[in-house]
Amino acid sequence: VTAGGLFWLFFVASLLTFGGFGGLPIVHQELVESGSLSDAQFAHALAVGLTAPGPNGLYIISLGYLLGGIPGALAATFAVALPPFTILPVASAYDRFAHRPRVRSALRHLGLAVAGLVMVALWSILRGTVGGLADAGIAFGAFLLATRTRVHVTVPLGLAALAGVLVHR
Amino acid sequence: MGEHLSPGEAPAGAGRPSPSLLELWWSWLAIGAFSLGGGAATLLQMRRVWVDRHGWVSGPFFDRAFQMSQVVPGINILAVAIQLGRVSAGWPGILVALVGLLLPSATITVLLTQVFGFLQAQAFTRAALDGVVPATGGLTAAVSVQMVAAAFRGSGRGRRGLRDLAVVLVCVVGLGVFRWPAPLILLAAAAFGALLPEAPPEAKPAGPGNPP
Repeated sequence: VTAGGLFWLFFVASLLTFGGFGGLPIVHQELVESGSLSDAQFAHALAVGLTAPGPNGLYIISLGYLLGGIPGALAATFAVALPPFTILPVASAYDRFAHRPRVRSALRHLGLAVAGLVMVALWSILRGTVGGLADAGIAFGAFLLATRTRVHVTVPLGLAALAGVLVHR
Repeated sequence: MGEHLSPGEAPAGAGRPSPSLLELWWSWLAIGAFSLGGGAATLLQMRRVWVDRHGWVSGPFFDRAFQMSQVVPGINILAVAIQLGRVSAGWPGILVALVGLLLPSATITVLLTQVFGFLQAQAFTRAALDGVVPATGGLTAAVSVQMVAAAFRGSGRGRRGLRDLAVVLVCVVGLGVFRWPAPLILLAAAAFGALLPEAPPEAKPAGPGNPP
């Protein structure tokens, strides 16, 4: 797979979907079902994307690297960076029309809908990440540190890693 | 820009010095390098830096930026970063935001891709990762609480509050039970809102935490 081919695949998958993992089914179909990557390699890239710092969806950079080395990783980075630019006309329109009562109400209801979707996503994420009493304790501790203090985000994550070593080893 | 924004949604409080490009660059690099744990940790750290620590944007502006990022394709957090870059320094701000955020995170992603198999095979690092996974759940919960609270800001306790609660519940059931497409839910909610025009909120008197 060429870097150009990877760019096009990741760009289209990102442009046609929403959120960091929205393009996952498209990318999986194109790369795994076509035989370019094994399921194990795909899972490897997903695990890296979940572990590395930065936004969700960077598993695509890992896939780009696995398939095309550094040029593949660069192509993947550009491919995921471009679609979010569509926010610029949306933000400009907001600046111009936000004072209008109907637009204001539409955006407030959009915020309410986002809150609903966030709650569903949270339920799914908690089910996927919290598997027992010890996990629940770690998750609750991270939640308290994030909401009750202003410590850097690496503090709850570092303490969780320490707890993981004590609990799971 | 932003001349039509209501007082609560203005990008930043009055009198705040604009950050220099160098300040922005270092702050994005730090966010990109140290927000381990995925999108929730990154969003949380962005809010810490931009709203809580420096006050470069107001809380309502940050929340609105996140809400708007949900209706555009691709990675939401990059859309938030683009909006923060835009209000801070225009196109140079956008460039600094994206490169600063992605350079360290993409580099670490590539390095991790090389060594992840080895790390997973080590009992110590595997145990540490097992501890980090539920913590990302806790951080996601923290971000979610902020987002939900932001959405209900201004709902009140009367009929409007009840109607807002019903809108959220319909969205939860629509996505969680019936698996309706998320973009469709967002568009339907916005269209419903457009049928119920709302007057802009009254400007509150100036005071601590409520700049003029």
